[in-house]
Amino acid sequence: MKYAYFPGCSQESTAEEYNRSLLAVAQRLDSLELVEIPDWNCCGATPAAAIVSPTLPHSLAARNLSIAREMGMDEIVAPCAACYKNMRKASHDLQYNEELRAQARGALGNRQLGRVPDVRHPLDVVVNDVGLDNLPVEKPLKGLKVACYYGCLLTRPAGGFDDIEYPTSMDRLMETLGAEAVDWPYKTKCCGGGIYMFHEQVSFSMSADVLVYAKAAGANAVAVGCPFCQLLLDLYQDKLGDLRHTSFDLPILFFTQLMGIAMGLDRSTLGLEKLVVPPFKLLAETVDAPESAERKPRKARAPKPKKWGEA
Amino acid sequence: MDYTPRTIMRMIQAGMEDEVLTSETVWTCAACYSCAVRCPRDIDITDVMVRLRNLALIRGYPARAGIARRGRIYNVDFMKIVRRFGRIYELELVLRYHLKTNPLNLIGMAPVGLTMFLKRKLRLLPRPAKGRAEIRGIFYRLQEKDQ
Repeated sequence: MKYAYFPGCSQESTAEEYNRSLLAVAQRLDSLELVEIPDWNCCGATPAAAIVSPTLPHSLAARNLSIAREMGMDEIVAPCAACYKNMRKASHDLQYNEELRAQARGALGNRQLGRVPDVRHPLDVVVNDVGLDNLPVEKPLKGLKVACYYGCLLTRPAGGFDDIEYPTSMDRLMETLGAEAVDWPYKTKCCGGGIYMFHEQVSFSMSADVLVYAKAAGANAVAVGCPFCQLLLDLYQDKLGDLRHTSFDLPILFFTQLMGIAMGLDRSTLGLEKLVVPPFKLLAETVDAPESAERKPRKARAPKPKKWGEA
Repeated sequence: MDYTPRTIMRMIQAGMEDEVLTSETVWTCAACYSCAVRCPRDIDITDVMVRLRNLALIRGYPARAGIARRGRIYNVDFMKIVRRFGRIYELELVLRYHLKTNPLNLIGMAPVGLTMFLKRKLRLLPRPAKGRAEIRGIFYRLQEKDQ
């Protein structure tokens, strides 16, 4: 299926590898075609409502939605969790709130606002449109114990594609790719990304907790779907470790990068070298490791307790 | 955070405008919607906090020291940049913020900045949207209406 693609600002700077890996994955999947919205603008970030007017986020988003509609698209894919939330909310409000729609129309000037496209997250599209059964897994992620970190805005506010408290889409995706998705309680806790510039202490403490719990659950990697979560957990991992008197040594990968690895894509297209905590040692020891005799005795252990999704 | 969100809601009901709009609480919210989706009274606490930030600005309340001041500087500059380029330009945002709050922090930020630069996660030049004039028009029409 064809979708209008809204990269968002961070896909061109701090999270460029997210953009690259998503496009690489989409190129491999026939059922996922992304066409970038020409000359897109800011999604209508939180400061827009705080500083200018409560209708500014809707109006900024309305411009993107209107361009996507001009392209003849019914659905937009936005990989940044914050963009996704802002535009999803705007799309919903513009469809159902006549007053807001009129205000956004007025703010748009000459631009027309017809039928408003829906806004989706790539995780939603991969799991629910492409379908897990249709993913070509060529290099299973064996040995990877992934903590799937959804963060706050992939599932909230309510009305999205997964459960608000205990989502499972990314976990199911990881299991399909051959990894083990560890069960942990911090899936949807906030990393504090929204305030880290001006409230560093609080946001670092929130992020550190995420890594503490991921580690405690036995994860050796964390999968994310948000540029801010990735930035905080990866770029600041040393600081977060100091804060908790430990060294986490956990690579933080975008779920699209893990998809790319499992689908056997050329790894140079996935931007793995851009991660601050390098994943290469882990990949060499797990995914790329030859089947060794050492690993076999482990399988003979007592069966693990059943987890969700298992028959 | 000087008041809990629940206290803020009660203060609003009691009409304590000055205290609410100069509180640190409204600027401490990370906008993660955890409380909003769990509120037994169905209050969209996140949107209320964002609206309170907006009211504090529109009604001309001074930003006191601390988080309220820093949060306001960050948010105001963020939107100035979006207004100018149609998108955000992180480098200018970070520089502006630190120069206005504590320029010495830039020294502490240097190692992180260097890592980002080496990993090419730092865009040195802005990449403005072509429809900047149109975007500025959106800002103009909304600001005029509100004030």
